[in-house]
Amino acid sequence: MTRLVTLLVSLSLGYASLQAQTPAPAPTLTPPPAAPVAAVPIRALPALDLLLDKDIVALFATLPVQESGRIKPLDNVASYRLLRFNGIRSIAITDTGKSDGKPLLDPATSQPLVNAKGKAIKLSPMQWLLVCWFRPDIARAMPMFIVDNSSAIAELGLDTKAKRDRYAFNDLAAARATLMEKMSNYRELPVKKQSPEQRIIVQLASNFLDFEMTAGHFDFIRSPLGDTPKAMPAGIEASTPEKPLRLSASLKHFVAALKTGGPPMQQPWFRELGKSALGAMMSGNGELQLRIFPPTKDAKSDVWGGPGESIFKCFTDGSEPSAEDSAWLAMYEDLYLALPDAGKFKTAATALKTKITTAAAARGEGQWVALEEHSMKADYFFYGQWLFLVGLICVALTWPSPLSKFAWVAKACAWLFIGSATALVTTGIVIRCIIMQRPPITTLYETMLFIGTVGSLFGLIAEVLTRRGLGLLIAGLAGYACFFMAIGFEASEANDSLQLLQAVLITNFWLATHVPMINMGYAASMVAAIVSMVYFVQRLFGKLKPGNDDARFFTRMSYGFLGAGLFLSLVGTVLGGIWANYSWGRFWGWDPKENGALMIVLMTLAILHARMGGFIREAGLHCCNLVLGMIVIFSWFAVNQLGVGLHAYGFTDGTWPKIHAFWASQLLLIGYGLWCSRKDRNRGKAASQPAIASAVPAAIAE
Amino acid sequence: MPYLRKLFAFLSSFGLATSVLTGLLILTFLGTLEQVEYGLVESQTRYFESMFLDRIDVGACWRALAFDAYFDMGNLKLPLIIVPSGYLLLAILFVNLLCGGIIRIRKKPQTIGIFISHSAILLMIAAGAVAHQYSKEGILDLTEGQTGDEFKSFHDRVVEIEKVSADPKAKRSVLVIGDHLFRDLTTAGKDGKGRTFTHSSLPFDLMLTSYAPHAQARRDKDGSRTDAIDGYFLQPLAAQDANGGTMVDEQRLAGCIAIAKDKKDGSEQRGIICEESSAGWTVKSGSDTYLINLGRRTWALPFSLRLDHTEQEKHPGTERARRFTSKVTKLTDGHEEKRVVTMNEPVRSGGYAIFQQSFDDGVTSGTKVKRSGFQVVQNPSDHWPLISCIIVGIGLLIHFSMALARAMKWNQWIAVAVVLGLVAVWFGLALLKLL
Amino acid sequence: MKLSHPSTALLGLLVLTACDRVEERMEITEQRQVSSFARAAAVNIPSATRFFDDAAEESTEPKQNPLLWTTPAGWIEQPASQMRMIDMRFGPAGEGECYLSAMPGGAGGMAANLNRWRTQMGATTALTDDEISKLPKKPLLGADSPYLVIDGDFKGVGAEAAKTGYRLLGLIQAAPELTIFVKMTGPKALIEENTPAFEAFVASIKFRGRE
Repeated sequence: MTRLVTLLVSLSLGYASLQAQTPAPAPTLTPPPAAPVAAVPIRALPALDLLLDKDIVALFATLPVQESGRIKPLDNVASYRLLRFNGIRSIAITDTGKSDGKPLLDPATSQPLVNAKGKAIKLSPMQWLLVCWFRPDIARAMPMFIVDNSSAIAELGLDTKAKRDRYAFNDLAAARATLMEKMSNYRELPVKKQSPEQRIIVQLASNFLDFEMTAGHFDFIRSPLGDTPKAMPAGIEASTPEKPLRLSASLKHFVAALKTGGPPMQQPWFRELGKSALGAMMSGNGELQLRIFPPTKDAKSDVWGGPGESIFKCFTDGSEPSAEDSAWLAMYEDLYLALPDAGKFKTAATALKTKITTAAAARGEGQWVALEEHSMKADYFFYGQWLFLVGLICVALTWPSPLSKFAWVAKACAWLFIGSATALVTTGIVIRCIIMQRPPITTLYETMLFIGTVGSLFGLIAEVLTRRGLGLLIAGLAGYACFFMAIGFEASEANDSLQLLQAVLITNFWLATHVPMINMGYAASMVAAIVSMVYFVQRLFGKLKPGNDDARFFTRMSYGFLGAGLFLSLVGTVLGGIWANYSWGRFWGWDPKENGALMIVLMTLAILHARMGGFIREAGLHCCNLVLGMIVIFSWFAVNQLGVGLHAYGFTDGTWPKIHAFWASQLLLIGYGLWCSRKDRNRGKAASQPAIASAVPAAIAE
Repeated sequence: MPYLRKLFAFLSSFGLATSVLTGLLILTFLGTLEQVEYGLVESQTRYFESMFLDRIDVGACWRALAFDAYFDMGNLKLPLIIVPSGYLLLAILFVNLLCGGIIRIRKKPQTIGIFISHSAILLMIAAGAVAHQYSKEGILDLTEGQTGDEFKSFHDRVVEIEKVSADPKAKRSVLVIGDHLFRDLTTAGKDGKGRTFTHSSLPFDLMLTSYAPHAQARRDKDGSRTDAIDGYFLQPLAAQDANGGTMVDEQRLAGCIAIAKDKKDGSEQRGIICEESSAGWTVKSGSDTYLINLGRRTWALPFSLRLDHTEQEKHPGTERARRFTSKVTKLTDGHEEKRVVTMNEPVRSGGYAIFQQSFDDGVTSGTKVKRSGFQVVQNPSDHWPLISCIIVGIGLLIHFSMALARAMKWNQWIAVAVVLGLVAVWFGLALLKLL
Repeated sequence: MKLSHPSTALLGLLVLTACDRVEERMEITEQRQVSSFARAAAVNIPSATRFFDDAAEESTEPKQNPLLWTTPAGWIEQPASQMRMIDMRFGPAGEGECYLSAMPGGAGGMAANLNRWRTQMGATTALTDDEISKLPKKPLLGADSPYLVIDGDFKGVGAEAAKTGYRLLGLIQAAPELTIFVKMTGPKALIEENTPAFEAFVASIKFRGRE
C-alpha cells in the first residue's frame, strides 16, 4: 500500500512539475480542440439522453461499492462527491450550474444541451456521475466547484465571478500548477492555523484532483496511453476504434516491458498509463477510491478490489493480473466499449451489476444497499423538516383566537403535520440503525437527528397530557430547529454521514444506553429552556400575567422537563463514566464533553434546590432555565470547538459565531427576565399575596 | 444549644446546597475552558483536586470561548484567596447532603425517592474520594514475548535513588521522592530555589533544583553557558505540540538539576536528570556507586504478565482500527494462565484491571516490533458508581413518576409500580445482553 | 494515586512562610522494590549517550534544522515551523518574542522589509535608501547586516490591536539566494534587559556543518 501511495504521489507531482514547465493546459485532461488532430481516433461519444435514462440511472444507483470500509450504493458516493464539489446535491448543465442559467453547448455537436421542453437539464447526483464518467467533455465545462470567497480564485491569478460562485474545471485548468503548488504549501499548516482563503484553496485543489480522476475514470479504456501514444512498448499495438487496447489482456505485456525497460518514470508510455490508471482509482485518498469488485466468497481479505487497484497492483508487485482481476477488468471494458450503442450498453451494465451483486451476496454483503438507496431517495429528514415548519405555522394560526373553530382546525392540522414529521424522521433514524446495525448515535450529526426527534416526541407527549398547544409548539420548534441544523451541518461536512466506529466505541450495549440517554437529557433540558423562552416572549407581548393559571402551567411544564432532564442526564452521565470505567479503566477524566454533561446536571440540581429553598420564583426559574439552555448548547456544540479531549470530534468553521449569537439572544431574554422577576417581587410585596411559589406542584416542593 | 442548632440549620440548608452546586458548576466551566491552554492535568489539579483556587486565567477562558475574535483582552489573571476549589466544595456538599438530604428531610411517602437518591449520591461522592486517595492508574508497555510486573503512572514523576550492587542477581530497592515535593522548584523568575533531601542510608544529601515540566538536555556548543554540567545544560521547552496546541501531560518530559553533597567532606557533584535520557546519572561516593533517575512513578503488580501475541483488525480498505486484541499469559508464582485482553474487555485479577490501551503493529511506527500498551488500574471503589447510579436512577424515577402522577391526578403508587416494573424489565434485558 | 494534595497545600504554606528556601531539608520516606524484569542498572554512562547526542552530528535527517545556535539562558524555545526556523519566547509571561525566518530570493528588497517592520511599529514614514545605508551594522551569519531598533506600538501580522510601549530589534541579511530575518519584539523595558542576550544569540547563529 505504501509503495502504491508513493507511486501515486510521484505521479501527481510529476504532472505538477510537467505543467510548471509548460504552462499550457494538460495535454490529455482537457478536451481536444473541435477538429481533433489526435493520433488516436476518439470513439463516438454516447448521447446525453442515454446517461439520463431512468433505467440506466437506477441500475447504477444501486450498484454496491465499498467505500470508507463499508458497502454502500454507488448513488451514495455520487451524492457526497457532488455535495462536496457543488455545495448542493444537484447541478444543471448551464453556464451557472443553476437551472436559470444559459444551457451549455454540447462540445461534440455544438447544439445546446436542453431537455425535450427546451429547458436546461438538471442532474441528480447519479446522473452527474454518469456524465462525468461517460461524457467528461460536458462535465469539464459545467461550473461545479463552489468557491465561498472569490479572493481564493484571485489568488490563483484567474478571473473572478461573484464573491460566492461556481467554477468549471475548464475555468480552473489554466491555473492547475499554481493551485497544486499552493495546496502543497498550505497543507503543511495545521488546519486551525490556515486562513479561510487557504482552507478554500486546499479544498478546491483536492476537489479539482478528485474530479480530474472521476472524469478520467474510463481513460484506461478510452485512451490508456494518452491521445498521442509515443514509444509503445514491445508487443503492444496501438488502440483503434475497431480493435481497442484492452488492459485486461495486455497488462502482462506492460508489466514485462516495465521490468526490462529501466526506471518506470523515465518511460513515456508509463507516465501516460499511470495517469489513466489514476483515474481508474477515482480518488487519491485510499479510503475513497472506487472499490467495486467483491472478492470471492472464501477470500481471506474483506477488502474489495477496483479497476485502479487491479492495475496498480500489477505495477507495484511486478506481477501479472490474477484471472479474477482480468475477468473483472474485461467486464468493465465491455461496459465502456459497448458505447455508444444504448442497447448494448444496457446489456453490459446489467451483466456487470448482476455479477457484482451476486458476488457480494455470496459473501453475505450488500443486503442493505437497496434500503439505503430507498432512504436516500425518500429523504426523510428533508421532508420532515418542512413538515415541522408547516406544523409550526399551523400552531401559530391558533393564536389569534384560540377558542374559534378555525383554531380547532389549525390545531388538528398541526397535529397532523408535526405528528407525521415525527413519524418520518423516526423512520429515517431507524433505517440508519438497520443499515449500520448499531444504535442511533455515533457522531455529532446524529445527535442533531436524535435530539430533534426526541424533542418533538417529548413535545407531543406533553401535548397529549396537557392539551394546551404548548406541547405542539415545542415539538415543532425542536424538530424544525434540529433538522434545519442537521441538514446544514451535513452539507458543510460533505462526508458520508454513516461512518464506521473507532475500535474503542464498538460496544452496542453502551452505545444503546449511555449515548441515547445523555442525548435525551440534552433534549429534555433544551425543551425546558424552550418553554421558558416561550414564557418570556408571551410575557413580553402581554399574553401572560405572572401567577395566573397560564403562567403556572408554563412553570409546571418546564419543571416537569427539568425533572426528566435531571434523571436522564444524571443517569446518562454516570452511565458514561461506568462505560469508561469498565471499558478503559477510568470513571471520570474531566474531559470537556464529560464536564459539559456534568454542568447540565449541576445546573438542574442548583435550579431545583434554589426553587425549593425559595430563592427563585416563577420568573427566576425561567431565567435559570435559559441559563440551562445556554449550558446545553455549550456542551452540545461549543465543547467540540475547544479542540481538546477525547470527544473532540467535528471542528467546524463558523460555529462559534452561531453559538455566540444564541448566547447573546438568551442573555437579552435573561435581562428581560430579571427585570420581570424584580417587578413580580415588588408587586408580590405590595399586594402581600401568598408566595407565587405555589405555582410549583405541591408534591415536589415538600 | 442554639449555636449547634444554627450550625446544623446552615449545614443542612437549601441555600448552602444551591451555592455549592453553583460553585461546582462555575469551577467545572472554568476548568474545562482552561484545558485549552493549560492541558487537562494542570487544570484538573487546580480546579477539581485542590482545596483552594489560587487564580483564574480570565484571558485563557476568554480565548477558549473564541471571544478574542471581537475583543482581545490579552493576558488577564485574577488572583484569588480563600475561594474553595472542587475538592473542598465536594466535601461541603457531602456534609450538606448528609445533614439536609438524609437527616433533616421530612420522612414521608412522598420523599422516599428523594431520600433514596440522596443516599446514593453520598455513595458516589464517597467513591470519588476513595478513588482519588487510593486508586492507582498507569501503563504497562510490553512488546511481543516480553514479561512485566510493574506499571508506570501517566502523570506522577519521581526521583529515584538506587545504590548499585555489584551482584547482578541481588534484590534491588530504590529510594523514592515524589514530584509533589519538588515540582515547585522551577526557575521561573529567579533561580537558586532548591530543596535538600536526606536519608540515613545515603552518604550524601541530594538537593533538587531548576525543575522544568518539559525540558531537554542540550550540548553547550561554545562553552558559553555558566550553568552547563559536563558540557550539557537543561533547556526548558514550551509544552506545545506541532500544531501549536497544548501538549498533553503524558508527552511532557520533565527535567531538573540534582546536586549530591557529601555528608562528610561537603564536596559536591552536579548532574542533569531528565526523562528524555537513556540512563540515569551516576554518583560515586567512595567505593559505592549510586544511580539517580527522574521518571514516572512505578508500582508493582502482584503477578507478572507476558505478552504472547497481538492482533489488529481494520475496517476493510481503511486504516481505521476495528479491533485490537492481545493474548497474554498471567504468571503467579510459577502458575500460568492464558488470558485475552481486547478493547472494552479487560482482564481483572486480584483487584487490578488490565485494559488494552494502545497498540503498535510495528508498521506505522517503523519499529517492526509489535507492542501493546496496557492500562493497569487498581481502584477499591471500582464498582461503587454502578451501584450508586442504579440507586440514584431508581430513586429519581420513583420521585418524578409520583410527582407526574399527582400532577395528572393518577394514582401515584400504581405509577411507581409501573415504572419500577419497566426498570426491572430493562435490567432483565441488559443482563441477558451482558451474560 | 494522588496522595499529594493535602500535603501539597501544607507544603505550599510552608514554602510561603519559609525565609530561606535553599536551606529547606526533607527526609526521604518512600522506598520501593525493583522488579526482577526491570532493566539492569546502567552506571557510568557518559552524558552524550544519556542525552542521545552521540550520533547527532553525523545524522543527515531531512528534518534537522540547518542552523545551529545557542538559546540564551531563561529563554524558552518554541518548535520550529515552516515560517520560523528558530522561535523563542522570554519574559515573565512569554511576551517577548524572538525568531529567525528566511525567504528565498530577495523577498521584496531590503528597504521594503525594513519599512514593513517600521509600519508594524506604527511608523508612518519610510526610510530612504540613504538612511538605510546609515543604519548600524551587525554581523549575522558572517555578513554585516543592517540593525533596526525602533520603539512604538507593535501590531504584528494578523493582530487586531496594537500593543503599546513596544520595541523592535531587527536584522536583515540579504543574500542573492536567501534573505534572512532576525526579529525581536516585546515591551520596551524587557527588550532593553534582553538586548545583550539578543546580540549573543545573533552571534551564535551558524550554518550546520560549517562550525
